[in-house]
Amino acid sequence: MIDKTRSGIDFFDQRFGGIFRHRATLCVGRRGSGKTIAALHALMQSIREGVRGLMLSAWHSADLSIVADEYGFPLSTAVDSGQIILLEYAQFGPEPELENRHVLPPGSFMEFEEIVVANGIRRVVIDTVLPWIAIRQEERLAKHVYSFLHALERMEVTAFLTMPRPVSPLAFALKNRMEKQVPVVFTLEVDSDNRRHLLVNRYLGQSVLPPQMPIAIEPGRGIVPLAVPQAVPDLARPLPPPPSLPPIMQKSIKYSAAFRT
Amino acid sequence: MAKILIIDDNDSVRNYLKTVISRKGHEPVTAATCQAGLAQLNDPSIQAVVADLYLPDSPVISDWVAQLKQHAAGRPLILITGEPSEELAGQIRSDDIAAFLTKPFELAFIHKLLERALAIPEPQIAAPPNVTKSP
Repeated sequence: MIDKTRSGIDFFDQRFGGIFRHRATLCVGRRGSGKTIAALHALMQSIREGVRGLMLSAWHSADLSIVADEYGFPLSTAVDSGQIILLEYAQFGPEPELENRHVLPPGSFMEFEEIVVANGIRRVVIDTVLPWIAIRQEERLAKHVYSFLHALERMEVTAFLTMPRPVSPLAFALKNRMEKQVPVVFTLEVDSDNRRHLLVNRYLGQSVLPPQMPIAIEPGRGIVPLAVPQAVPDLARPLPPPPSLPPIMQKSIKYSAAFRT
Repeated sequence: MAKILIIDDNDSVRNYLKTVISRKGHEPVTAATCQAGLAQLNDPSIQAVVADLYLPDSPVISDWVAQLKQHAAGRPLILITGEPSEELAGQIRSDDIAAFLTKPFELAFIHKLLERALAIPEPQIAAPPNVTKSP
């Protein structure tokens, strides 16, 4: 039996019936495209479902809470009540030498797994997933990604992963590998006129996917559908500036240079 | 406590598994080759086997798995691999192989699979470190 749960992005869930429970969903987009907002939707869905969620983020927790509040997510309250656990890459994350340790699990992953189990976490949001899966050896990429995704499944959590848009051949190889193994993949796009779209790249079981869907990111509401294209710019609701904090682990994530963050 | 045989040619993986299994109170024994591993399996006190699928002296996978099963004689068998092939996945479904784990991340679950295979209750995990309770 196919078991689905909500992604937390309402119009997406209405269109597709949600995402696959205990599997990963991948959100790709360049910096400022709204990946973190999508991640917050996914995180707060755990509260709607009455389960505990965890977010591992490159953001400083205090900054993330401010952004979350701006877009209508009561993150601070959820953290204080123990419904949500926040982990920062700055304090917790793959060791810098992960790239050289392909055959052994990083100690931080085992620690991460213990936190998930000990706290009864059912939904995990990783913004960005890059530090875990980005290795330079392309010939090992497939096995590395496979092992990571299956380790998440072994934890029996519903995972929401974000990834910067790739700009190098190796980064594209990584994204393509993820797309082959993750059942639901979508891209958040923002064009030069600041128009935003959500494009579903893969939805397992659906051979015909919809065209890109116009969206807006609004204060107090997060990601919402834009039913009518912005033909008359004066009538359009002004878009808030996109989040622009640099990833905290930027120095450690050497591979991120291959991505447009 | 159970005696667990680890068959892997990679020193790092062997030592890692040895450490994890020891910490869980079991007795690990190791082999770096197929032949050495199969020879060790003659020891009836070994209660479970963790084996890499690809070893320098391993035959084709199906033969190696068949030999392991024959020598294991019903003892739980956990295979370690990279990305498992369709052939392996099918074999695992049809055979009495306890599980397979992929390197590197899934190795972290070895003790849980062993405990399940040996029907030993899982220990309670202590409170996690480094949890940011509030932003």
